[in-house]
Amino acid sequence: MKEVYKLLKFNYAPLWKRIFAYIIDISLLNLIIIVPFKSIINVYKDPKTILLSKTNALDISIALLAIIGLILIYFIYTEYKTKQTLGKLLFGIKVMPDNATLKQIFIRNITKPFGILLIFDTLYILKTGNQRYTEIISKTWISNK
Amino acid sequence: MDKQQIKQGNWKTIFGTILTIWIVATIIAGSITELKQAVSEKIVIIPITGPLSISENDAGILEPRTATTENILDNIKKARSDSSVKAIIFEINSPGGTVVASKEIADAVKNLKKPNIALIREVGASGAYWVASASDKIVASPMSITGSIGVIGSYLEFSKLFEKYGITYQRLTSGELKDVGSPYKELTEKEKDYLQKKLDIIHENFIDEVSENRNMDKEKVKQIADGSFYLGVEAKDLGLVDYLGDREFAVNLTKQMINKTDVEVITYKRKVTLFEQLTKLSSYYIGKGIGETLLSFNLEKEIKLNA
Repeated sequence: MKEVYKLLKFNYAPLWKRIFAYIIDISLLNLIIIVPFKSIINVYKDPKTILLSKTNALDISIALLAIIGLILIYFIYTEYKTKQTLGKLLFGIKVMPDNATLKQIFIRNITKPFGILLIFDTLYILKTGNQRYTEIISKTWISNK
Repeated sequence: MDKQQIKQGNWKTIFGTILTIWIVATIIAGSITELKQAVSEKIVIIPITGPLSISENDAGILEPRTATTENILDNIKKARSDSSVKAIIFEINSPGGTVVASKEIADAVKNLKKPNIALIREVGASGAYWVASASDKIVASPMSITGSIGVIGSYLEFSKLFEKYGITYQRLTSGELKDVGSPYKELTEKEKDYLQKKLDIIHENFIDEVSENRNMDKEKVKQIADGSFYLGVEAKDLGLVDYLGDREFAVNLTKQMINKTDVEVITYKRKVTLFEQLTKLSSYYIGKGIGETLLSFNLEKEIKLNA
């Protein structure tokens, strides 16, 4: 009963919608951010090359910083302004609460560019049922629109 | 604001953000690539392909594409002024060319303050060998054609053909040797001697240059400078080349010379404009070339001294 009440109160979006929305967002980011940097980060496939080359190490550092920054900007800016990203918009889900601050949005998205961190962050849903770890910290959640 | 307006606003904001991020990513990625090219240390390969000439106009439409001094000197200048260029490889695939063009390029190579090597691929003979000899080291493919230290001033003479068709050459000159080498008349003994002397002077100069550039005894160069060509393996035995090898060998050798392993290898390619491509293929150009050859006789242009 408590669980049903919680679901009705927060109107949590189902996990499958969140997963598909994330797949759309990450595919889009791959297209608009990763593709332009492809020639630079391709060297990353051979770590020996980076170790041998100071120039490559510098290029890749700048490129990775830019990629991380742009991914964060995409999630933070769109969610702060519209409470949605393209994926969320297509699946009719949004970030709650409606009056979430920039700090809250920043915290909930901080793991997005980092694969491993995001996995650990997401695994928390197994415990809570609806929220990632960073969502709990930032007091935000995803609801149906 | 109703729900519909909010939804439209969201679409606009999201697409605006996507577009901005894409533009910013493209600009940053482009800048990093440019910065990398400007900052990273480089070995530059300058191709010298085809007959050597002063300018593209010297070559006929049916002749192979020329390696013009204009182009090559521009590339040398570019490589010299770029501080990130640590060494230069001249990738030669040329049978030689005009004496002046060969000398101009050889001088520019000799005056380079950066380590440089010549890589002879299929052929690096005559004037092209002159250029190669001016570099610090010469690498040649074992089966390449090189050497051919000699000068040619031969030309076609049509006087007999004209006679057959009743065409006569009205000789009007105010100097005895003014029309020497005219294809419309036979050479006199005096004219032959006159031209031969010029060729000998150039040949002598060629030998001097090779001897000085390669640090070889002049007499030794003279012995092999009978115009014969040598395969790469023979040329190495004669001291005309330093190493036998391919492009990869040349790049590794250059890296050793500059004592660097982490360098980018780039090739300066000849830029061909769309206009150039179109005009080269146009019938106007072909007609112009044939017409010019038939109608205008220009001694300086006709007698091309090739090394």
